[in-house]
Amino acid sequence: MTRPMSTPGKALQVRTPTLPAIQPSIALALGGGGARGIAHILMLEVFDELGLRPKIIAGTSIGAVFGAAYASGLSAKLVRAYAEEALGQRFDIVRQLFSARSEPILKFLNFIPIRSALLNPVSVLELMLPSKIARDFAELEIPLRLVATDFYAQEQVVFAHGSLRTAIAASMALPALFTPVTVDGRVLMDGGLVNPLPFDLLRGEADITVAVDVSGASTGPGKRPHPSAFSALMSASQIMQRSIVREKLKAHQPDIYIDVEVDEFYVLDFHRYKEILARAAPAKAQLRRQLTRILKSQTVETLPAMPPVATPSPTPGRKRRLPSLEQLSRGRKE
Amino acid sequence: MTTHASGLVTPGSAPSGPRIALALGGGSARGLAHVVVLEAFDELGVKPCIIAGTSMGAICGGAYAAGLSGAQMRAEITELFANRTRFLARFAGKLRGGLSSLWSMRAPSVVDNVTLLEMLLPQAMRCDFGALKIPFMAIAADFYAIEQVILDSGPLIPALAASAALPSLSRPVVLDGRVLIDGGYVNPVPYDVVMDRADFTLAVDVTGDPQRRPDAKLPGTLELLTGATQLLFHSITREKLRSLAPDALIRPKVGAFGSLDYFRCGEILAAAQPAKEEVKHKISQWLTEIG
Repeated sequence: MTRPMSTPGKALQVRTPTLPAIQPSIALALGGGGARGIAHILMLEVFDELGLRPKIIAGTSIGAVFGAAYASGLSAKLVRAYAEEALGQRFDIVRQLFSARSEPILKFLNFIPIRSALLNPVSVLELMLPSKIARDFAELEIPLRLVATDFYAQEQVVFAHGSLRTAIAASMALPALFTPVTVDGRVLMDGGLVNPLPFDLLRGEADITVAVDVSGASTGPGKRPHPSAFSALMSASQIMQRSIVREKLKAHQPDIYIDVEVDEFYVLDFHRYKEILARAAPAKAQLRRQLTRILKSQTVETLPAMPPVATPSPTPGRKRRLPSLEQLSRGRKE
Repeated sequence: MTTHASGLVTPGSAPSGPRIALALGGGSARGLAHVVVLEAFDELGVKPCIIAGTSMGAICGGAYAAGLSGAQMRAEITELFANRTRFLARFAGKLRGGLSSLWSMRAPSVVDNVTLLEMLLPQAMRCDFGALKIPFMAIAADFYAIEQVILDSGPLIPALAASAALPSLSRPVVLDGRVLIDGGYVNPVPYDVVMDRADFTLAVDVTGDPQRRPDAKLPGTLELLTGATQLLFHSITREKLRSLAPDALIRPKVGAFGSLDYFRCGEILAAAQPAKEEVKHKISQWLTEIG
């Protein structure tokens, strides 16, 4: 299979190039997991810090939100600043969401018979996403694929074109919290129901696939003989998503798999974002270590030993004559 | 990640000849369809060498392993769910908060599955795994460890209760200090745990499908929640099939029935009826192939 190769010139366009010009291309998959997905921000920071830019990103649910922000060209620092600001003022958000100050309340709340209110995810996104996030997939700086679930057809729907907000809204429409999103007559909801960690969508897209898993199920802090009904219900769907990821990994593995240790947090623990970021720090270090190692081995260590030459230190021009990416990736697969 | 609750024991005497493993999946009321599959085994005169079951599949598989025939199970079920009033009278008084609490979303997890099953299941099933006529495993999920637990020793009914402890309806069952919930959360159709112990594995999937209401544009909250759970069950099975598939996967056409449609058992059994011929065909085909 031939795939577009990034030329050395392109590779130099990364945000802060610190590594040699020839780099393997990287596909990044950001998984679903509600508030635990705040950890994705740290993974995006690794890319910025290493001066890397994913060639393509796939996201599910909260992974779709952060994936879209990053693919829109926002730096991880900016994404973090925005998230911290938004989450730090959660009472303001709640007020914004539930007050009829600027918008009629009925736009946000759909009252349904059994006394529970569902939020419209499209409206929530309009309110909460920074304006810098692209409106259409076509405006993105990095190609993006977002996963949603077709409720009645029970299958995965992958968004790669069209309205970005609709796609994010569908991908994160957690049952019982958000209303489903209807697109072309299909009732769409949280992509985590079919594909909580969408690294399989990226197969063949890049030399290296990185998957960030935040599905670590939260079963609560205690070891009480009987978890509360609420905790059992909340955790049950997380246990299932974890099971899906485990089964997926039996069939295929990404090149780098980061299992972020955020098991202790619940899906809706957005107010504990500081703790989540702290708990995800080891995962960040792990991703950094693994990426650095792979990049090193692909850029320097795979070089044939060269006889010392009298010429001055190699120029960037010489580096371009290193084994091409195509050769490297072929070598990797054989 | 799987742990055995105890060392694997092989109770009963394994039948000689071709070894067929049977895996019965979870699906609450839809799982009554398993009876039709078991009738197919009876009619063929073939006994599985091992049975694994999850949730309702564990209850049906456990009953069969205990020696009940498919026809006996059909009679039990039909009698039990024939008349709502009689059923209510049989055990309503023993439920905390009355029978209505079973269906209340505001006070979930009130049902003690062990008590419930001890009341409902026939005398023949009040035994240990060791007394079963066919080796049998019930699948449960360890709630805190988030892993599959294979129950294959000790008293049968508590194991079945654990395997069928659906969080919204039943209280988790504590066995050996582990908090166990419905096995469907980790392994809705447990064919993978028996495949290496047989030459042919038949799996039965009775996971439900979200149904579109003709009058509603969007599903309601309760529909969304149950539908989401069913979607997740399907996703686990779909992903499992990518790395390992059973020799035969039977899906009785019962997806449209709700999880609590026990009183429609007649309709469920009728809808599952075509699966009987399918099972017989798959097994006899294989038996012919191997001679």
